[in-house]
Amino acid sequence: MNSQATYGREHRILSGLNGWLLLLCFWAAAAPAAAPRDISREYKEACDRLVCQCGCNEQLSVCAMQNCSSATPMRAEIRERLQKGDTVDLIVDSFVVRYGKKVLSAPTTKGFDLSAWVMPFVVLCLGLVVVAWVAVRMARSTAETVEPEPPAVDPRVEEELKEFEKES
Amino acid sequence: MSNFGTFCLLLALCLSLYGLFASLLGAVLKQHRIVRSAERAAIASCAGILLALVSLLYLLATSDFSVTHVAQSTSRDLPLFYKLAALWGAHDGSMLLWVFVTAVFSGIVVFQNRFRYRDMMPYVVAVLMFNLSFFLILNIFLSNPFNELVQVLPDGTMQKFSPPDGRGLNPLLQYWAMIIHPPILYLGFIGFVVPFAFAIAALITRQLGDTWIRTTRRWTLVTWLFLGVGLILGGKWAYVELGWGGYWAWDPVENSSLMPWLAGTAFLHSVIVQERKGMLKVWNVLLVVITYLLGIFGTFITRSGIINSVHAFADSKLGIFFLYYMLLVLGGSLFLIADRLVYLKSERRLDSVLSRESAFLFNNLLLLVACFAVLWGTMFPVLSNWVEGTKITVGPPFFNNVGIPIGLMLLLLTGVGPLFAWRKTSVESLKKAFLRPMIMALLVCVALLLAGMRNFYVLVSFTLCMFVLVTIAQEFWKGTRVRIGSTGENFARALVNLTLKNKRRYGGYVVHLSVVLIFVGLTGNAFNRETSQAMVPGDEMQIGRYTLKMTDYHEGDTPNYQYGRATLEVYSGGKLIRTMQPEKRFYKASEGQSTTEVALYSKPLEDLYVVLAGTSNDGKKYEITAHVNPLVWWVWFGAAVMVAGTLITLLPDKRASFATAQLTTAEAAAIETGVKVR
Repeated sequence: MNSQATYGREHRILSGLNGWLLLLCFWAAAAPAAAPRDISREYKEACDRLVCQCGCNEQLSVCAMQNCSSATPMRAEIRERLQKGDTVDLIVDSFVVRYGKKVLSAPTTKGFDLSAWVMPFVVLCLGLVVVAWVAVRMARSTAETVEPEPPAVDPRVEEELKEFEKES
Repeated sequence: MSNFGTFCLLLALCLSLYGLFASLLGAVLKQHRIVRSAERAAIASCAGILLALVSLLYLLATSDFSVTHVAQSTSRDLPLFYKLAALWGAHDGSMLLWVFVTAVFSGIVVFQNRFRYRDMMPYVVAVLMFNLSFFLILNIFLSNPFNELVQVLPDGTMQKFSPPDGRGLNPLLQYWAMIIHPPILYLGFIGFVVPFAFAIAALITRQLGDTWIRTTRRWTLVTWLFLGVGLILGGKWAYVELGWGGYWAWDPVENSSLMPWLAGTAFLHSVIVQERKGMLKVWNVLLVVITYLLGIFGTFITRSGIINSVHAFADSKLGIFFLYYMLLVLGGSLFLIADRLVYLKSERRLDSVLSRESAFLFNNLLLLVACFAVLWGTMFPVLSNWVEGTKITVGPPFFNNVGIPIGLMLLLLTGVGPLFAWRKTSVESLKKAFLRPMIMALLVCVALLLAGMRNFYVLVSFTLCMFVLVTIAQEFWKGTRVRIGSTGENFARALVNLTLKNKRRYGGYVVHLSVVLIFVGLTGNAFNRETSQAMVPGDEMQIGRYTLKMTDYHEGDTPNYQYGRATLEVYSGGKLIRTMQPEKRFYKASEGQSTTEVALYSKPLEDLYVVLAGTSNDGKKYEITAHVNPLVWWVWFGAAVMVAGTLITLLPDKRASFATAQLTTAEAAAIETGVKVR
């Protein structure tokens, strides 16, 4: 009796489990296959930020040498790590640890490297100040004429040319 | 033949040195005959270098591998066209081309001005011959293309050696644009020596009016045009031949051609102020010195090995000599400018900050800051190596981040500048001139925002492009309407005649239009897409609105290279629109070095760019990379418009030619009779 009751209970549990398993199988079959994550944007970013180490001095996204001994494994590693879920920053940092700063395609924003970024704009600002100063100074100063330059050509022809330019 | 070539170069060197000293002596002693003999020596040195060039071409064509340059840059199976083009495929030969172009330019200047500017010409000839002699010395003694191969025998003696075949021309150079790109670029680099020579001559003779500027205006424009065309051809080559999907990688050698172009652009603008207002004289002399030096600096970067670049001649020892030469030229020029400062004072004052003159000042500032940013980024790895002991890389992320804001400011000025009047612009007239361009630009901006565009630089760039476009159209419209009113011509004829009557102004506007078109193309970069897939025939890949179906893979053989070629059918909206065949080539003479032959479907809206990147490790699949690059077509179209605009400004004036003809006749008679003409 006991054994029969136990059997009946086990049977019901198994039947229930089978039902759930069947449902799970249907669901799995009906559900779309899990697509690999789209990493193209991150991949491009990482390849743009890193430089191939074969000596071509080009970004990973630019080095077009077939089976390049440096770019090919670096790209493969980037792709693999992005698929695993690593961030671009993490991947780039790990390459910097391995190769040093020379693997980066642009200077960092720390220490001496910062001057690379700042200097063009400093020059622009200084230039603006100088141009403004020159403009104001030129506007204030009275006209100072220098000794007239002796004509290098026949004055009649010079006259004719000036006439022509006025007309045009 | 190789000895003959070296002899010709030595002869040319003797003649150019004679030209240098004789012209100076003639000027000091005021002996016209000595100056004339110096000028003849300059032309004769040009002939000597031509003979040397022909000798090297003969050696290349006949595959004389006993000559180092021939053995290093050609092979027996190379087509004749490429054998001849190998003249500039390696360092020594390219130096000979440089020397040849320098000599030809010097010869043309001497011939053109044989009856003109007699006070200046001795010094012009001296500067040109100094420049030529420097390059000839380097070419003969440090980088001789006629050097022969020698081998050391076991007993220690050396004998001449001729290998059975050469190493072949770098496969990347075996492309039409790359064949004409270096000579055109050289024309651009070297041509700035002419305005430089006239500027120095003007400083020495104290003739610092605008004569030297008027004389060299065409030279400067033509040189600037060649440099621009050279840059574009280089970009086209990179786009089609390198296979990475772009046309500008901010490589140091690319940058070194951009710098003199930027400085030259500044010079072309600032000379207008001197011609019209007698202002900016010191600035113009300085600018022409800077532009010339940047041309030399470009060749210094290419030939010194100081910076890593795929385009550089790495094993050259010439760097230090270029450095000394540049320092000498810079020091000498600055000394002369400082000494003649009193003659360089402005003839007029600036009437208002709101004027065309001010706009030119800001234009010059921005162009030079752009030039500095490129120089700074290019040289920063060297600087970093000195300071920190680490040679870092400064690549596109730096140049794009720094260059885009400066570029956009320049674009704004391209539109704003022509709206200002000379001397003074009233606020009322500014309001009137700005109204339409502003409205149209704002409409574009709003339309883009409504379409979902959120990229700041893209928004600004397209908005400014519209602004500048409307300002240019407005200028043409106003002029044409006035002409229609006064002459009764129809619109098309009035437009053409308007342009032809004032070629410089309206040709300049056409060049400005080309700048807008190029900016449209550059902005398209923000929308580039790329995808890669390992494929076999029958596979499909998707990019943008295109479906690419691989239908075939074929391998073949030519005497020069082996190739693998994929065939892909391109479908859009279910329709077959194109069959594309990207190719990979493996060059036999270059130890199997490969090149990528891109398949390109180019339309104004976007380019479909397909590359056969290689094969998978097991060799069973073919790696296809596809790019969709929007608006690239406008870069090439804009470049063509730029050429057209420059050519318009260069069109000769009938009346000016008549005047010049009168001048030469009058002066010729005087010179022949020994009377000095002033």
